[in-house]
Amino acid sequence: MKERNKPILEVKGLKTLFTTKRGVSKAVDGIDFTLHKGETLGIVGESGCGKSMTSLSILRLIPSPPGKIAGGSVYFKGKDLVTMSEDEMRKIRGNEISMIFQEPMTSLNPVIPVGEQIAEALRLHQKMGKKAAWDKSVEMLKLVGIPSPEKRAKQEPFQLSGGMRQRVMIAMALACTPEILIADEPTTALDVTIQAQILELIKDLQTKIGMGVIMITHDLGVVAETCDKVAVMYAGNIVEHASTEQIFADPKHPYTQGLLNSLPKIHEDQDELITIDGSVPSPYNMPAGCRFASRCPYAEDICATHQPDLISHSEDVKVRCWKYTDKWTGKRDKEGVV
Amino acid sequence: MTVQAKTEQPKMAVKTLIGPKESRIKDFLSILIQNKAALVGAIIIIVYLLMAVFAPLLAPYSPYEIDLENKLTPPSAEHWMGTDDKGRDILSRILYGSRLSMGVGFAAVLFGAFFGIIFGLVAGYYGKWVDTIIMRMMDVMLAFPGILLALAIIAALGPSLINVTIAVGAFSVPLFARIVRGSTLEVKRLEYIDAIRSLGATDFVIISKHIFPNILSPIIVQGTLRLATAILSAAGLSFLGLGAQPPSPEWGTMLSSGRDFLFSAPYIALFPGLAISILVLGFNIFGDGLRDAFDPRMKK
Repeated sequence: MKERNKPILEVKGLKTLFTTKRGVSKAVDGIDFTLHKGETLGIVGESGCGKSMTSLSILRLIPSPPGKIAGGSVYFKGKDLVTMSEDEMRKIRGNEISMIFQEPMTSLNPVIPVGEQIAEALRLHQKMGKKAAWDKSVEMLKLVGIPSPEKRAKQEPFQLSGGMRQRVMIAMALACTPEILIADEPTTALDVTIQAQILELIKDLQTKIGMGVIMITHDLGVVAETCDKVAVMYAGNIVEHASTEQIFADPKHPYTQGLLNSLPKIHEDQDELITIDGSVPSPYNMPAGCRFASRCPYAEDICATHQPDLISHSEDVKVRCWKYTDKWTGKRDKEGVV
Repeated sequence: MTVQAKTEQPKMAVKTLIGPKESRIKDFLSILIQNKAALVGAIIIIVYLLMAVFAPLLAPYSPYEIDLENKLTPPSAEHWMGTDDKGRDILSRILYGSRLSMGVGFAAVLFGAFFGIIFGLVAGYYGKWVDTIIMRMMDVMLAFPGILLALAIIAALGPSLINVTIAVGAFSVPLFARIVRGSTLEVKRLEYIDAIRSLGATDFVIISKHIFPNILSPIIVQGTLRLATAILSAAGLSFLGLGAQPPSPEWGTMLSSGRDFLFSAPYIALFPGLAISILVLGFNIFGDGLRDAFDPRMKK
């Protein structure tokens, strides 16, 4: 990996709560990570673990009520986004930090030609004239690989296929050359061949523009393909944070191990896919100890009562598990349970 | 009902939503034309509009011309709808009256829609206490029977056709506000609103450019149906002597003055009454047809 200087994005102890009639749900519960220029960070985890809420919290787009950023900070170029005024925040959104959404089918306004939607960001942030913005949006469509962009720009979203719409979304997000792109499951709604094209495109544009990318996904294949480092999320926490090679070669956290185990193996004849037993605890009723304890094959007494911290295991690896502390007795290993 | 409708008309549902702008309008019109009732409604409205526009050309007499020698003549070749107690030609008065009735109707609905849309958009988009305050105000307005509210407004402002317009418009405001608020709530949850916010759009841009154009169809349907009610209420208020004043050829006013001759000369009241009923019927069935055309899944 290249030597990198100061991070452009630094998330510290970010906490997002949802208050509903059923109680308070900790959607994001104190997460930390950093992102450098030109780097791709993957955030992986299953549905409902807080991946999307993390990205929405960074841009302060949490639906409020019921959501609320309850603590922590998000430093972008030295400024804290959490305490910024709405006006300042608006200047950052789409201009310096952009986001692409999961559903290309519903993420575009159905009654406005796509070219105009791309032009909107340019006119908002760069105060471009109508003509200039339009020309630039045609250029952006060309950049994201849409054939006959002049014609396509005048079309409305329903005239475009899913893959093309996602390209339009990317063109919209990148129109103002942002420094950070947050891609929230950009390929989940697309079929596999289009997926590969879109990921290739994002990677390609990343090297051209030199932006940092946060890739939110539940697909470990996408992570392996695109990311430099990975944060694995479970029930609102980051449970493991390491480089991509490290995660795939030597996963530390039992949850990460479980995730990798559950991938279908291409060279083996599998009758049944491996799953992780049990289910995620209710966000309204989190256990006092480790959130993965009830599903963890290694769990000891301390796991049920005390929440472990995210500790540095080695230089590049951080893991939230008692197993890697001196509190760990390892008696189940010795007894040969596992 | 919905299941059945879905199997009956799935292609149309898709057709209205999909296709370039011009062909979308074409499809929309073709659905509208297939609906016979709506077509009749549209024709009625067009005929009335033509009547209003070309009243001076069509009317055989002046609507104000008093001819006491020929008063209370039944329908005849010279006076197709007869003459009233002052010998004025009823046909001419009805033709001119269409300008007043439709004018009041359109103005009142535009007035009501304008404020209702603003209230609805603001309440639906901002939610929280803004929503509570606006919608409770609307609920209070809805709690009054429309005509009572209109009477109160006219009592305060004084009887005139303009005040009738304001009064009728005012009690349309909460109806528009409710519909617009509901649609706004629905549209604002959609992902493209998040997407556009993530690009840094201001609330004004989001509301005016991204929410409003997407909730137009219920507004248009409501507007058409409200036109019928507005025309009827305006005529009713004029009948009570609170709107247009004699001798103006307003249909409600004409009805009211024909009331005294119901037994001796029923045509004085009959024709203005018919004029009102047919126009109201036209707007109602056209509005229903519009609703079906905008959302074929709703079709009964």
